[in-house]
Amino acid sequence: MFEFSYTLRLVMLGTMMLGASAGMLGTFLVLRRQALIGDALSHAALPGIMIAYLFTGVRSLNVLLVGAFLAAFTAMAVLELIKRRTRIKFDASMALILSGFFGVGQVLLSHIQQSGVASQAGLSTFIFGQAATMLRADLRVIALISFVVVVFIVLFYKELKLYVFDAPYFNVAMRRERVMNAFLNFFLVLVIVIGIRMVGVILMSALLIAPSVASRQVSNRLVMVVLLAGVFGGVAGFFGSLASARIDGMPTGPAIAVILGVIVIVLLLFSPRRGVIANQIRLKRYKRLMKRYKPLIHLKENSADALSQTTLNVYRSEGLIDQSNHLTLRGESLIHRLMGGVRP
Amino acid sequence: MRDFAVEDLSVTYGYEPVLWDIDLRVGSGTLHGIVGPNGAGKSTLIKAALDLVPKLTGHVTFDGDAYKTVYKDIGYVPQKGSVDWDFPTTVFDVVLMGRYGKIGWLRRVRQQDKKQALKALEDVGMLEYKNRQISMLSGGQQQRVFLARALVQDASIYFMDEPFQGVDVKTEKAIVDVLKNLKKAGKTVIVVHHDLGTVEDYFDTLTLLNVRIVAHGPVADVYTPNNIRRTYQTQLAGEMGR
Amino acid sequence: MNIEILLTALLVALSTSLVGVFLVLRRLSMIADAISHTVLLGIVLAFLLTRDLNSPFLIVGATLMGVLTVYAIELLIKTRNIKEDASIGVIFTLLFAISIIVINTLLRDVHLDTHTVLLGNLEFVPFNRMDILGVSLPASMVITGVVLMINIGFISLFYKEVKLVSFDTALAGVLGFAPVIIHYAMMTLVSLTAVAAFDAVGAILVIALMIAPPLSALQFTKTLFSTILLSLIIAAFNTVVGYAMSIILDVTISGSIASIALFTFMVTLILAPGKGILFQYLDHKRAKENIMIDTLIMHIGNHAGSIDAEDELGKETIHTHMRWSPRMMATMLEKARAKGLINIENNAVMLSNKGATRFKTFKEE
Repeated sequence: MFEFSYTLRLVMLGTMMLGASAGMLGTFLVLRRQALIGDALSHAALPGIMIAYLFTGVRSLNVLLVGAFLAAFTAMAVLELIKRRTRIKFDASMALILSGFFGVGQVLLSHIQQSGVASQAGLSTFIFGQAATMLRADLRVIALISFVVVVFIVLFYKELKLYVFDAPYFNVAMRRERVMNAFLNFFLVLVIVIGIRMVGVILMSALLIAPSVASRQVSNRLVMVVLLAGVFGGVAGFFGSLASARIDGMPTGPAIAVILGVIVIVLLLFSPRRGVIANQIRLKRYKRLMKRYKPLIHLKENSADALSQTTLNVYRSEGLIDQSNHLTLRGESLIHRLMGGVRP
Repeated sequence: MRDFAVEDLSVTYGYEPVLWDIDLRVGSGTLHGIVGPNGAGKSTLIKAALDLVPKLTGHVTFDGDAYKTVYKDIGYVPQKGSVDWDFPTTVFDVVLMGRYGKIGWLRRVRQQDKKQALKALEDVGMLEYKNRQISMLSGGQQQRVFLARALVQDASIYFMDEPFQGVDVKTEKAIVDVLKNLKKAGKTVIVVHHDLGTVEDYFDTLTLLNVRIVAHGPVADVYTPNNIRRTYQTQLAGEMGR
Repeated sequence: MNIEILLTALLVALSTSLVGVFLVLRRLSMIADAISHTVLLGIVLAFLLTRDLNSPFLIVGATLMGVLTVYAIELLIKTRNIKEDASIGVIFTLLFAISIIVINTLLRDVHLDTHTVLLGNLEFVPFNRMDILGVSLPASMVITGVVLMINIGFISLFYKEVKLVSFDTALAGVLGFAPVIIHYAMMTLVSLTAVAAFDAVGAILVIALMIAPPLSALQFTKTLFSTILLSLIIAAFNTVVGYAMSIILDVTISGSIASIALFTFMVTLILAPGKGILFQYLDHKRAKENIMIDTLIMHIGNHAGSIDAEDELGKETIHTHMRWSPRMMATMLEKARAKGLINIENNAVMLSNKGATRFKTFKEE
């Protein structure tokens, strides 16, 4: 089980690095509420790849990636134009760019197939990625890009933090909102482009979104959210490629996406601090306590007149009020907690 | 003609009460204001009355009837920001939507509905804009459209959430006139408001609200410096205590 | 040219753009993208149960899965631990990945081609046929035709309700129109429409067909009804032009239609009167010019007849007082003169009668 072949080690390293860098960078996208832009841009890369191939006739990864980069960046520019100059809803323009660019890519692909030079496999590779056939040269590209992305995040951590938290304020304080936006988008497109090679266009979103959603459930501090997103992304990359190598027919990209999805769902449900289940239990308990001690609060704020003798007896037996129906310290602190936004 | 009664209403949001121990009664044919600082639960009070938020305790009745049985008789003007003003629809069309409740499921808009919509547009001084797309309106005009839409609901009790927010002086006057006319026609009008300066001119009765009811009754009795200080001070004290 | 293919493409385009109008207006475009991917899991699961690729339960399962996707996304949002866009991203990638894994592991021997599902194939539409009342028709054409009828039926029957829920959900609730039920009914239609379009255009391009026509139409229209009508017209136009292009260039039909849809949108985006970017730009420029001319008139009016008038209103010197560049000054003087607001005599700038009247109204304001 734990003896890894040379190729598998390559693939594992590649998916880990990709998962980590996409997860870390994706944190800022998710916080900026543009999580789905990755989905739009990865689909929009298709025509670029086709045009690069048409012009150069080379199938080398790097050449095609340059094409993908240019197309994704064009899509980004169109999106920005629509956002800044019109009142068209952003989600609609994203969906349209995603699908429309993909359509253009398909037209180009079918044209290439017409001239009989390319194989059908081309598009499948693009849609689902092909981590398993990774070469040493590919790994180098991935390592380089991941490294640059991490360096970018470390160097500009402070700026990124302010930017995603409050872009208008960032613009006032740093005067460089557009530059920051362009930088973030540039690195995003870079990561997407290598991600397409590994996990394909559709599941690229999982790598960008899921890690930070997961880490957000565990921590409230941005540093930790970013770092943990990197860890989750890396772990999913590792086990995803392992699963793909060990289980017959298991594709790498979907395996990674499912691992990430499961991590997110589990943490969303079970995280002790913010998890849905813990929260629901706490909220239910809070509401129950509020109902139960509502008369007590009424006693504090108004008088004991409206309370029945039974209720008073119960409170007295719980040590919340004394014989003359005044609140005890214990009663005071209970009310303070219930009315003061303290989680029970 | 309906009065409006709230008994023992409490609402929590997260782990905090936003409305606590609310008891109030607004008699029919009254113009009633709800005033308080931000976060005092003014909008929540309206929403709880209309079953739009869950209640922890308490109930709301309209002349003794529950909301569910009389909803067709209740008009609602939400905050302006609650809809998409870019929606492809005209002023006239938005006002007509107020009639939908009376028209009911599946049935079409009738001539009389259209007549009422035109009448309401005239009442708020927006008749000349009836064919304009709503994205081409100013903030004040948008608010008047919302008001016209409430008028055609032909309800006996109206809830309005900050109808004066972001409107020009002229619109504010126009809205006040409409409110006073509604009152003359015997309707109950309950308005969330936050401009203390105009309270005395606009309303008959008043609730000063800050999570709890600070004071409630005829404006002359309630609108005192002491009460207002208490309404706005508790908030400060509460925040500093945290 | 194959009339069956064109007809199917038209039916798909009309049914998708019809629901698309509401997706755009209600900001559900990316939810639709999620649905179009996750219905695949519904197809896969239904197939695991029925083991029949032609079973109608595949459509049922797929539609249910689409609705379930919406529900799951909304459930996540309700926890308030995750924003809408992120929750869409998490749910659709997870469900889609599961379906790909099932296809690649459990269903390897079955002819369930992910390629076709995702990309569709209008070219193959005539080969998969069914008999309706003794007439042999392409299955895709029949299914999309039925779906179009359902969509038209639902929207014309519940037009008033759907409009109200789309514009103001809260009011719809207050007036007793069960917004949640209408919302899910709409999502069922979207899901069904996406599934029906699969054979023809696949999961990815169906989004362009749903979103592009309404977005283009919205550049022109001011009522919901005209938006719907124009969307349908634009959808049909895109389809016919796209189909023609695919024949001329000998390329994929669905890709061509999606490309034309994108192209039409880009053209309306820039050129539409009123909302188009070019129009807005010119409008903005004109407004700026008018303000500058008004400032000029104020300046001339204020200095006319005063002692320093010769310098303040000299043709060569006026720009220093207005603080405009000489070139800008010359342009503005020319424009003002063309509008008959000023005269220039002996190098002195002065107001014409028309300009003087305008100046007077400014003063009064």
